[in-house]
Amino acid sequence: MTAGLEGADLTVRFEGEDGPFTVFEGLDIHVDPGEFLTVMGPSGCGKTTVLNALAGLVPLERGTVRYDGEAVEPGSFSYGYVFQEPRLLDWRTVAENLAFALRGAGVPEPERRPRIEEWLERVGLGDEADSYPRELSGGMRQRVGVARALAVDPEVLFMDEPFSSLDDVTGRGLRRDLLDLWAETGKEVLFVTHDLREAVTLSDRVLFMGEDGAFFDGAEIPHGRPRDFDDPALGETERRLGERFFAELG
Amino acid sequence: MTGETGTARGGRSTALDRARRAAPRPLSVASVLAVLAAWQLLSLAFPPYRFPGLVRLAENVVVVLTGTGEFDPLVQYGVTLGRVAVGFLLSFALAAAWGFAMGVSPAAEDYLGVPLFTLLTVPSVVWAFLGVLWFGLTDHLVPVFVVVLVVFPYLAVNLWEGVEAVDGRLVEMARAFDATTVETWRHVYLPQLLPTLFATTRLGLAIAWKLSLIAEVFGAPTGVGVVVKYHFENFDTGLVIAWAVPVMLLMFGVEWLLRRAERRATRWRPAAAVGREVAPE
Amino acid sequence: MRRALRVGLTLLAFLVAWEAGALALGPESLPSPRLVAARLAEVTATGGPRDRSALYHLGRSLARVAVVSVLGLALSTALGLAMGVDDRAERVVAVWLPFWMTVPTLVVILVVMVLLDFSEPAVVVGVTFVATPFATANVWEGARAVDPALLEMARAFDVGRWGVVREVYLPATLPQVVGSFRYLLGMVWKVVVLAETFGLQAGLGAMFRFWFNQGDVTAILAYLSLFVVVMVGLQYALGAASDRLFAWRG
Repeated sequence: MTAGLEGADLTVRFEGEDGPFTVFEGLDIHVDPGEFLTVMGPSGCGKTTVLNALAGLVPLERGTVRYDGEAVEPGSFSYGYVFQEPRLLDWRTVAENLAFALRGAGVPEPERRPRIEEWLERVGLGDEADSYPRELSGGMRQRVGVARALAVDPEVLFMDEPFSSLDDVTGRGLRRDLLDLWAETGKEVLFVTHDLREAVTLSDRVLFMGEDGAFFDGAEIPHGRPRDFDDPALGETERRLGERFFAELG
Repeated sequence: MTGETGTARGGRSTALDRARRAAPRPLSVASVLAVLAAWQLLSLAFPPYRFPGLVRLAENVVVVLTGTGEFDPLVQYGVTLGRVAVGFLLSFALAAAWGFAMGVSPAAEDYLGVPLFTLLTVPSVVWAFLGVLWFGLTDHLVPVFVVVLVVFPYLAVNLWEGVEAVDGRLVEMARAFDATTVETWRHVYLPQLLPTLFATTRLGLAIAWKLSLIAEVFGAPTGVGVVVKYHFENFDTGLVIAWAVPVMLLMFGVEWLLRRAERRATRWRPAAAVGREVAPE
Repeated sequence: MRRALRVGLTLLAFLVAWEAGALALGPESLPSPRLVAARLAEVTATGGPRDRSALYHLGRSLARVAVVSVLGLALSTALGLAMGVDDRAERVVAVWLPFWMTVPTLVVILVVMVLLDFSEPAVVVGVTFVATPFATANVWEGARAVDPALLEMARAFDVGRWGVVREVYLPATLPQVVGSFRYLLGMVWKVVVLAETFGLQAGLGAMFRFWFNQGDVTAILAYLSLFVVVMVGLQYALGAASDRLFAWRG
């Protein structure tokens, strides 16, 4: 596949206190057009760094990134990022938080307000445009983060464990809404998580990452869409994959 | 005066809160009276021109402010005020450049940190002495020189810590959404730095005043410090104290204004965020 | 390692700049490092006015600093803890703490020196008066920050007032107290020197005043070097000691 998002020979090294530290080396990854790909791994294995490297937030020591078949600078394609913590500006209203991202994306002034209103409506926060983040619950703040990432109309969506800090009930609601929103847009999604259940429920394909920063396994998720969160077949897939995943990790 | 905003609902003070804050508690009043009584008692142990009782002190202050003494208050306070203002502004500018560099770059932190901490150790009188020996008894150069050299390290440390405290994750978020440098400064850095900027300003003005007086004793022909030295040499400590009172009142006024401005500017913050910091020397 | 290199580089640059400045401005204005070092050796070995060596004056100043620091620490810890523990104590002290901090140092020193006849007690009383409020504020902040959950636990186990102070407040505020001591030390040194410049015959401040009256820049710089080295050394040693002491806190 030459379209979609591709990373080849990705290598990231940090300068630690005791010398250089390799997060991952020679990694290859590709997200097919319209695919929901999840990278799964234990905490600290470097999966967030894969996202950040592709997004251009962390420098690549080696490797190339291609988007839509063409070699590009990491992060130079249009993407939206949903972080693990909402990362909202507490001193700005919800609408202003979205406007901040829209300005960065170069959206012209007259278009901003309509987009903000549209996306806040879509995530169920139509009435909160003038509220401050402190006045919202954790789940609502995360919704703002999702709205922000989608409002810039990105080609690719990066998501770094966005629901890991939410309780079960809220998280479930958000996951369902995410799938609905994503179904409308048809973008590539690169999702990171340590929760196998979440990975199986949401994705088209899962890649397993080990503690050494290498992909040691992967699998297609053989379920159709829309996904039924209570489908026992999903649980079966999770069990099957779990054996492979945890076996490797020991 | 303790710096707690103590509000009932996150950040926005109700009328009840403001009333609570304004009403003096009986214990505080008793404490003030006790201290004043102690002062009066202490003054009995010394002749009135050395350590004045409260009445004599008030009379002295009036004499000072109405210019019926040997010095014109407008000239003396004016000159000192001018030096404080210029010294403070120069210090702040220098400290901002220095502190921001240290906060943003680990290399700068190593290079610039050592001179900073070394400068913090030098006593102000030594700068005053060196200043006079180098520049002579010019009008304003020596006091401003002393103020800048002593004040800017304190401010630089403050600003450095403020920049380090900025949430790096929000800066990363801004990068992820392609915000320009101007946008990032305006929406991410500055709102977080606002409390530090205010605190640093209060600190800077407080130290600058005290330093100016010390510098003027040795290094200037005019100014409140010179007046104080004159009275000191005549052992007229009653007048020394009297000249200090308006300075303290002015400092309180300025600080009150700054705290008000800060509260207005940081209304989005939770309570107890308007803090107190320490102003040495 | 890298940091040590950078620090060394800065020191080197400083010495080079000093030497260059000395060459440019001449020994009257800016004596070279060598001249100053030589002078320092001279005043340390053979002595200055009345044959008292620099080390004698250093000793006198050090003694005053020690007395004031201990006194100030005791006072500020007692006051600060009282304020943190007891609401009434807080109200009594907090009302005039800001006044105490705002009194100009110069005025305090001059007045106390005159009232107590330029004696040793005069220096101690004056400098302690100047430094104590700042250290008190520090300790107070620390006491206020004690975890209320711990206090509640102590109440649940019927621990009395003094027990709570001893077992909860004291250990919790120890870093703050030690920090206050280091801060105090830095401040007290400079104010002691200030006091000594007004009419005392012994101490580093007295020497600064003497050589200023002689117009001798080299001597001033020599004493300044001694002062700075001792102070920086002290601060460094205290820093290392307190780091070791509180290493377990992480």
